[in-house]
Amino acid sequence: MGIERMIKQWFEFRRSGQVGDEYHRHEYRWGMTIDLDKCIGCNACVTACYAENNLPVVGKERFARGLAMHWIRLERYWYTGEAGEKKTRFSERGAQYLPMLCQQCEHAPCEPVCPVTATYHTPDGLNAQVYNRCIGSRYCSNNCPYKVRYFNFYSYYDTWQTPLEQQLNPDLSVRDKGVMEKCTFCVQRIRAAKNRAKNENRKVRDGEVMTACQQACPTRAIVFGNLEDPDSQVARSWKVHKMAFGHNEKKEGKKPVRGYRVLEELNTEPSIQYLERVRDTDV
Amino acid sequence: MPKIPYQQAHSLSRIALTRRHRADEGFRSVGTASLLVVIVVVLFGAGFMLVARSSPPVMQPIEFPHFRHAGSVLEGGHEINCLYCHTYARRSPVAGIPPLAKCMGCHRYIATDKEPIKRLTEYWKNGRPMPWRKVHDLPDFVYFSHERHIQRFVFQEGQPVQQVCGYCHGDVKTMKVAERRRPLTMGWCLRCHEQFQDTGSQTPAPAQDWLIEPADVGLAGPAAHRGVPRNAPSDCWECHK
Repeated sequence: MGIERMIKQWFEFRRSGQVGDEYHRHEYRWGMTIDLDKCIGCNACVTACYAENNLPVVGKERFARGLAMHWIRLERYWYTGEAGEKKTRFSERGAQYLPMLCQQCEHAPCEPVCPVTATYHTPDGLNAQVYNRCIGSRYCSNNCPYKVRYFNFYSYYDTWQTPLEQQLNPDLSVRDKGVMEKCTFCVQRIRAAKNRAKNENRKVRDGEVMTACQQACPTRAIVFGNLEDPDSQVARSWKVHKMAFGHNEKKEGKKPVRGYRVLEELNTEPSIQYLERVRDTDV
Repeated sequence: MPKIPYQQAHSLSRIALTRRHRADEGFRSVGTASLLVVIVVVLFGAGFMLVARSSPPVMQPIEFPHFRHAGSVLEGGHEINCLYCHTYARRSPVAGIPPLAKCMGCHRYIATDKEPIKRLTEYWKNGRPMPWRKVHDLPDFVYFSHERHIQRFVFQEGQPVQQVCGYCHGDVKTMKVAERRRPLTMGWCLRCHEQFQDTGSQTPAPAQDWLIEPADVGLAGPAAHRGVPRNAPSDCWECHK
């Protein structure tokens, strides 16, 4: 444990290439595809996440200070003209949206730096955060290139005043001050589906687990499922877009497909594939 | 220089004795001694937590006699199936307490002259639920599913219900008032899960410090499990929520 583990895992994670062999034997590997062409920036996924995961609403002032606790956020990108072009304040064609959530990296930079192993990798490819073990050192957040970890600087459990506490989801805890939290791929739903499957002596079927953001998406831009199952919708979409673990755009060159993973060149091996937006002007 | 009452520590905590007794024949400073007192106290506390298996009694509005309902006929019980009253256990994460209507289903006619039943009827007539208090309470950050355990052991393996419930709840059918007989700690849960693990999944390193010997669960050794896969989860996120 401690520094030795940190150094050992660090070198392990920084190696490019095949992802942790021990996990390949597992029957599940949760992954996601987000089609940015379908994303209309409606923020329904964000709202759904708030409702599902007991996320506190922090208020205007704290939001402005960057203390919002949204596990999924909608990033806006404005095309304001290339160099040499006439600069515009806002793009004529509107913003581009990108829902940014925990990428559930296979080589997660947050994991080796945790001094108490509160964040670790589950056998089914999730980047877990155990709240009751977290001591709030915030190393993980500082080491996350996607900035998708959120720290509870304040206690929010009293924001759900009677009868609002009735809306809380009993399947996951209400986090208190001093704890790091992040997107879990709705692990409580995965857990429920696994239990259901085990009761019926089968594996979890494709489409049986839906994340809250996926469920709320009006354009079905988000696809979630088991990457180990070659027939699942998400595995097919990874295959179509020639995406796989170990893929590195910088080394292999851009393929003529839309799929990419954010900051792939950092070797974090994210489990979320984004599909580029295609403008009519591009074609 | 204060002396450490070794014998007292010995009698208090079995864990504290072996290592400390030999290693610290004489103390060089008061600081070491007081540090040791702290250690002994902490170890005693830890030891107590590990050894303590049953809870202090929980005061209930009525002393519900489990032995009368679930106990064997020979001992004056009625051998009612656990799942008759705790019916949610087979289909929900929580076992639940039956509604008062279920009690009244029998007690409108049975034992109506007894004092507790009169109080029960009073609650029923006033349209108020019984304020039962929780005996087996897990921390809020722990997910435990009764459904999964009951489905596996009772419905998939065909073990007797009372035996299965007893793994975690003790021999409830002999209890006058329900009490917690098992520690219900993470280390205790995981010891059992280790026995039901054939897929090679190992107890995570942070949890290994907490492992304790299981209470007389009676599951040791690979018993026949009717081909039900032994894949008890041991991953942190299967229970910590």
